[in-house]
Amino acid sequence: MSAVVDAVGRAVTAQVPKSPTRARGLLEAAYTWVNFSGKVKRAQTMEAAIDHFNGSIASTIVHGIRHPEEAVLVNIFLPCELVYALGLTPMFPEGIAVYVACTSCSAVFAELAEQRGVPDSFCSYHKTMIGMVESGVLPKPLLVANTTLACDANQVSFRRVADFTGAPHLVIDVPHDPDEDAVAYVADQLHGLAHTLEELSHRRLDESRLREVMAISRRTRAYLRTYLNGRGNVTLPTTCTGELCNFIATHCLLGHPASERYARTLVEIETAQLEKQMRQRQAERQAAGRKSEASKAEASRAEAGERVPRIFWIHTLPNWQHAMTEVFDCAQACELVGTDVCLGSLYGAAADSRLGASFGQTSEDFSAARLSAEHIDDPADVAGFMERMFLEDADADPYDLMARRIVYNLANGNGRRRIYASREAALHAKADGVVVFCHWGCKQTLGLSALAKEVFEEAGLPTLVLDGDGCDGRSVSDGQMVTRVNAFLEQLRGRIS
Amino acid sequence: MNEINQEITSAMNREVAGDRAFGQDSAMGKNVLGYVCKYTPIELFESFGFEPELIDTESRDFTCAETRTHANLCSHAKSLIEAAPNYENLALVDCCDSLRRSFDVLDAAEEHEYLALLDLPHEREGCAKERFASTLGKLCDQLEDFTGRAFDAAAFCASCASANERAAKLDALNALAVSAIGEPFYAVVGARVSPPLLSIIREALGYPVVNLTCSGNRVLEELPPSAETLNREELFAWYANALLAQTPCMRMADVTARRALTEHPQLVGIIYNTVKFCDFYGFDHWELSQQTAVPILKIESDYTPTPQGQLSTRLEAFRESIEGDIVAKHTQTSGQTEERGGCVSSERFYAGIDSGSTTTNMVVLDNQGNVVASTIVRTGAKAQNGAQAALDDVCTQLGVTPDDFAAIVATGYGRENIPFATSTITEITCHAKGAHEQQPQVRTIIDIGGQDSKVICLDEEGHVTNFAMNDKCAAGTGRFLEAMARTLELNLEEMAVRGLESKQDLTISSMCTVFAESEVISLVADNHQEADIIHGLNKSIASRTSAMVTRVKGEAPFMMTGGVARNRGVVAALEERLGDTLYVTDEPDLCGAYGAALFALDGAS
Repeated sequence: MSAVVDAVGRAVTAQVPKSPTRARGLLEAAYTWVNFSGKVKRAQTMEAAIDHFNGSIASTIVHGIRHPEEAVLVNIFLPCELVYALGLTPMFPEGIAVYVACTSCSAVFAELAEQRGVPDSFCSYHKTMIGMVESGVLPKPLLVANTTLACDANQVSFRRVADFTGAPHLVIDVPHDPDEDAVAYVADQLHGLAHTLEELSHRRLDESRLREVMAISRRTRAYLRTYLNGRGNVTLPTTCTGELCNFIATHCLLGHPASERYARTLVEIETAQLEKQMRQRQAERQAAGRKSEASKAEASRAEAGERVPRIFWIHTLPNWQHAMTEVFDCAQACELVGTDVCLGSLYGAAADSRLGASFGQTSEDFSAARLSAEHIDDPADVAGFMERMFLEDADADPYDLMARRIVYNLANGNGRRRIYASREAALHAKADGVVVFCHWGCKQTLGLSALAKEVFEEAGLPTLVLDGDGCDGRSVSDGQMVTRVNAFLEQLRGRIS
Repeated sequence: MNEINQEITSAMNREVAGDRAFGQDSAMGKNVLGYVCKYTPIELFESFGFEPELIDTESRDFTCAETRTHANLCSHAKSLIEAAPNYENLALVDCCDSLRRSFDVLDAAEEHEYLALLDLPHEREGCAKERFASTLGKLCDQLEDFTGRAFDAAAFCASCASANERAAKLDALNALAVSAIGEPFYAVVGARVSPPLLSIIREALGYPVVNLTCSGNRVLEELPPSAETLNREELFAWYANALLAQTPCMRMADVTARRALTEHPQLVGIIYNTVKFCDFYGFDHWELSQQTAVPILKIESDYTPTPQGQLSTRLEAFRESIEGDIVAKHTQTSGQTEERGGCVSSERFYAGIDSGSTTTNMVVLDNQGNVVASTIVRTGAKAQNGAQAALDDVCTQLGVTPDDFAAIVATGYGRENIPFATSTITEITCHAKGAHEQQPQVRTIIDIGGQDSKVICLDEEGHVTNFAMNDKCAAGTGRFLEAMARTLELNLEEMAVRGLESKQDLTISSMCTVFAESEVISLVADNHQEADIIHGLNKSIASRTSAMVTRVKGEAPFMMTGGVARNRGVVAALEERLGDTLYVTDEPDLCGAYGAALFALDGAS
């Protein structure tokens, strides 16, 4: 944590009880800087792409704070294409909580929420959001809207924020069992959301604008699928923040041009890296052809020794925690090759529609994607590949598509949908091991952690169940987490060397 | 069909293992079906020959549940996983994340003949009702397949007609009793309460206690007179509406109807139960506490056998504050009381003894209410031994024998185990009494002792109006400071003043004593000054305590009692946090014993 960030955090913490408006101003200034510093980076690198997109998220948060009359407070699973089509801005607990955590000031909001009766075992993302609202730092939004998917926290925190601020509140009830009746039930409610947004914003929803936004959303998902398809064959300097960006790009910011730009850049970086690696291998093969068998074996052993373990991550990541980013960022000690949280909206819905299935056929979907990927001999044909793959989506009813994405999201239904999809994704990304991150208060994830470990390990993926917190340092111990993670990485290194 | 579909479908449609016919498979000759939620369509199951049984058992430990899931899953869900092997058939509802995950692990284990998870809507009106009726219809189809029986509308209607009668048999003082109740009563509200815990509550309180939690408020509206003429779809439409029309639990989208639970004119007090790692009801408790004038006692339970000490202290103090009968509970065991009965005139002293986790404190008054002796001794391993040492000490100070005491009121955790006490009163009421006598203007007492911390609110008469206690966690108590002193290799006296010399503002952010200890070790390793670390620890205690003050709406003037009040660093940090000064008497740890002695004197007069 840099001294400047720390100083801003202390200043915000000091201002919250005295002048929430001043605290808000400080946060606005900090996130405007994040946006600016991200925008000026033009290099085609992973770091620049993440910073750029991170800046766009910061800009969204700043806009929501400055123009609450245009802000819709949503949960991460609510489809935001309607919000973008009307020129409004989404605000979501995971985003704002992670930002204040990275500004070193989440504790003041979490403590304030606990003082006002929020249980200490409650999800800290939502707890922080409540603290921000009830301290007066986060202003009253135009609307509070949430889905009942995927966690219990949604049911109580959004209701509480709506009651506290007096903002209108709308709930999208998502049935637990993913089926076609559920899609129709949710689509119907999304029409209701559209009407409510029109009434509150005094804006008319232009159907063609909605289709444009849906097209952005579709292309973003296609780019990210392509990126994930190729992920197993490349080494990339990914970061905890980058993996969180993938989550946000496939959820709340889906339909925002920044997400499409980010996803396209990821594909370009991956393709360039793939080509570079292929050239390197070719050169190595030529060199190896001139070597003896003994020196070939030695070279192979040396290569395995140099390679860092590849980690597939379950749930959100603690990117605020220096002790963790030191290990996981930029492939220093290990390489993050994917997270389950961004799979949900990529492999749950459109594929089901394409395959005509009634349940989330994740395994088949991955197989289909892999099959298709085999036909991309020419990286330049990526766009053509995507067009073929998602042609049928273009004319589909937007409400049906959005509903389908929520209902068939891997976070819905039996937890094993999520576990099996993650197993497939981890194997596809050539992961060496899996970390199941039990974010404080998230019963959804910690409840399935033991089952997930069993399934992953049966598939040959050693698994670490790691307790931690996505945004609040008060319930974690750096030392304990680092010891566990390092021991796990030592275990994995022993397997791959 | 892929692996996931097969797995999920098998969960709802699992065929009976082997070739046994439904109805002949149980060792008990019955088809007991365990269920946990009031929205479970138990009448439908009953019409197919099942015998629904509410699973509401406590567990001694959660070894199995925590192996299959995680320690931080809701305690009720963990108790369900522990109890599940006792049932061949289970019907769960997707009430919450913890129950969904419980279903997942039970489903994966494939240990049940019938296991279902009912998809319950969050909304209660319009399309939600229609969807739920359709879900019930699908469930009926599955039950027909599973049992090999056709749906029997008459049996279903008969079961619906007797639903409320059956609920009353389980517990006569359930939600149905409320409309008929004509005397003052308490209600248990919030997260479901286990039967043993409910018994403890009922034993501790004077008026009837009605269970209005999920385990006691299943009420089905009456069948329409024309029920027998309705077709299957119409019946399920009625049934879906009847189930959804119940008082909503906190997972439902619209919970406004919950307030009706607490609006009965005869309701005198609410015991608000929360279950460890169930987060819904903390929110409801906060909202209710903002809206109702009825006194509320918040408790936390965890579906393990409840330790009596802390809970009975709270319940008795609550009763004392509501029923106004602060008549000390006379101990049953003391033969000495009878012996003393005939020689009251010769006795001159009235004592209060506060048996705490770390020290046992005693105060003796003469018949004018003047303090004539006091002592503080270590409690040691047995409360009884510490109490005897305290009694011996005051007797030596006064040159008297135990027979010279007219009354001895015991308070504190060990109060029930002091053989020479003539009566017992909770330390909450005693602290209030003692503090009010010393500083009548005080409206909030902050008492931090060895193993717990309390905030007690008083009115102008010195009556307890509200209070809160820490739960099973030691953070923010004297034990926390002791642990940190050990880590820093200091004694408690040094800890009490060293923090005042702090130069740098450090924050100890961990909520847990163990984590805080490792945080302190890290700070020591980083060469931070001892004074700064101690100041950080003091701030941490101040933060937790002030949160409790806010929760009970504590107002100035404040007084601090208990052993930790001797720690000037903690007092200063608390004053800064509260933005007000704290009254601290010369002997803050004697406040409870002093209050008890005053009760002894009052009782005699």
